[in-house]
Amino acid sequence: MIPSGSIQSLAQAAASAPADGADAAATGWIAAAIVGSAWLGSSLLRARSQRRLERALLDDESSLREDERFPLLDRLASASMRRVRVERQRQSRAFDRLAEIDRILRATPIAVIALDHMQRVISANPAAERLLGFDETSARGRLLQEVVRHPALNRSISNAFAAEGRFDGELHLELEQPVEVQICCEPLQTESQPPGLVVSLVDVTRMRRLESMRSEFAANVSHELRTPITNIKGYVETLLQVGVDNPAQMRRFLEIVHRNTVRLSGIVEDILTLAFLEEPEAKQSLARLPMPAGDIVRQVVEDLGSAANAKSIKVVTRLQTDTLVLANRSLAEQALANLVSNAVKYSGEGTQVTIEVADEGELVRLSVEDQGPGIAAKHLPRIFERFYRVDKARARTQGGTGLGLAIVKHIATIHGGRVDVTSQVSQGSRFSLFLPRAHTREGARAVG
Amino acid sequence: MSNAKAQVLIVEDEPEIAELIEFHAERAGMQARKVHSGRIALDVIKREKPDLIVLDLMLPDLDGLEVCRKLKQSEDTRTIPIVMVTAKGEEADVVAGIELGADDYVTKPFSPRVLMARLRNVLRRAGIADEPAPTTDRMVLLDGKLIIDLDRHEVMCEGRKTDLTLTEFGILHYLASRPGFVRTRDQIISAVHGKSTVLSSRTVDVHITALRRKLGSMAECVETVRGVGYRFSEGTRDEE
Repeated sequence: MIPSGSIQSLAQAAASAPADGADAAATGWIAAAIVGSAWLGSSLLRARSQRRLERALLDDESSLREDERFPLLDRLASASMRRVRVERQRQSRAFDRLAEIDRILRATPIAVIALDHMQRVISANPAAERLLGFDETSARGRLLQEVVRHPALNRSISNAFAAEGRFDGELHLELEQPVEVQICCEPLQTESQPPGLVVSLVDVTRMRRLESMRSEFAANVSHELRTPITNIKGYVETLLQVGVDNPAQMRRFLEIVHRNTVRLSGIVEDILTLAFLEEPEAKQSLARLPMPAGDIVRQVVEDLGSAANAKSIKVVTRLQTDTLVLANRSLAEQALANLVSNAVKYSGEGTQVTIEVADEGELVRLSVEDQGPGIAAKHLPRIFERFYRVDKARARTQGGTGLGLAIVKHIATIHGGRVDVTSQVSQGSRFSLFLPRAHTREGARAVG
Repeated sequence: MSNAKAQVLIVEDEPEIAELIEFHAERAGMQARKVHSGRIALDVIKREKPDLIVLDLMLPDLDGLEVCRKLKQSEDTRTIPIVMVTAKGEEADVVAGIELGADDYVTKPFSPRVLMARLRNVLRRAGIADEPAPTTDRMVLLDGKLIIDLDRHEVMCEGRKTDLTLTEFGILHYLASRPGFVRTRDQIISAVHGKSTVLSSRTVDVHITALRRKLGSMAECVETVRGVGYRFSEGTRDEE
């Protein structure tokens, strides 16, 4: 006979056994069965009561006969039963949790691949399939190098295994489109085998492109600002400290200082305009009114007439008097003025600049056509970028800021319009500004 | 250099800046010539072997560092001193230029006076550099206030003996052997420890700090050139 103390302790042990899933539940139940069988002393009874006990523990306590309901066994049985119930709940929660993790891994844009210690694929999520172009089901169990052949990636993974599973870095992968990915490896701990590897890949191509555009812009700004400042500082210092005896030379130096001051203020002005146009609120707060497109053209021609006359350039306008645009007057004028002033700047003496207004469905086209040198096709996609220069030396002699066309594009965009350019080398260019069309003059009087 | 005017080649694509440098160079008695592109510069330099090159690093066709590399690779042009004209925030380029062998630099917007002081210094040093390295075992610097005794591996600082570690001594000797020349951290490391060293460039800062502390009142002779490296003072400072 087993002393009751030890039975109690067994029962306690069963009830407080570590919650390690089914194993613990089995331990509790086996303990109960052993205790029960010792108490009843018959192998036949033992087998039967064991089954009954099992049933009772798992399903229905009341199926036990009265004479089986020994108080001690009872306590033991209900304790084990509680454990089983808890374990079942635990298991079902664990399944739910697994399903949840699976859903998360499927949804994340981060490519995640799990490898075992032999570099065989354990699993991979859809983002990994998409990024690296493979099928998870056929990849499972195969070496990663067999599934995807990217030397940079395979090298990083070898490095990670060499460094106890830890590796961070950035890779350039030559896929259909070249991509920049950030790779992060962490060891994958398993109970039975040496650690594997969890590889996470984040596509940072877009971010890197934006960063390089931003730093290119910053470098351009600083270069464009520094050049006039260097000239102003250098020539003023020369005039102040060295003194220049020759009056003609003195005048020339002052002219250089003046020209660079104008250039500097032009650049600052344009940068501020761009900054204003880029503010998210700019579009909402923009005061727009219906107005005849012809009014905008006439104003610009009046403002720039003298510059055109100076080069004997004939400005021809082809207007449709009844075409209305919905625009902010001063911005629309500035955009068109930038186009006309470029046309005048880059065209030869005695040529013609044609400004035309034409309906294009819901938009109105204001186009400026010149007979200048034209622009090679390779430059056309980039010509509206800030500081993009087709010919650096020529742009400098013309005194441009490099921001004029970027401003035109931004003005078109915040109006809900667009820009366009066509050009033939040595024949001329046609720049177009599209503004939304207005159908009624209502409110136009308020423009004054 | 004889009595003939020093020939200066100005490589600068901004015409007004080039004209400014030309004006000052000629005022200082040099013979200046301007070119606006890196490729033209290489042609002209090969043909005319100027005494000094003022090189803008941001050039439209061939960038200034590439021009510098090509000049230093060629036996004919290797010894022609180069003063780089660069922009603030481009210290990485300055470091690269100096490691390629450029002699000095100014940043835009520069003061014409400072630039001319640099040009004169570089011309003067170029004259010295043609002579063989001093064979003397003692370097007497800063009017005798600093004496480096190579034989006894000793430094006398205003008459008192100063104990330096091997590395500190090496750095001081390296910088002092070419006063006024900027040296990058990497140059200092390879000069003092040999090229194979795995010391990080920041350890140089630690050694310099210790060296300055030991030099006491003479600490200022080791100048920091921010973002670039260090140099030994020339005694007479440029006005900036």
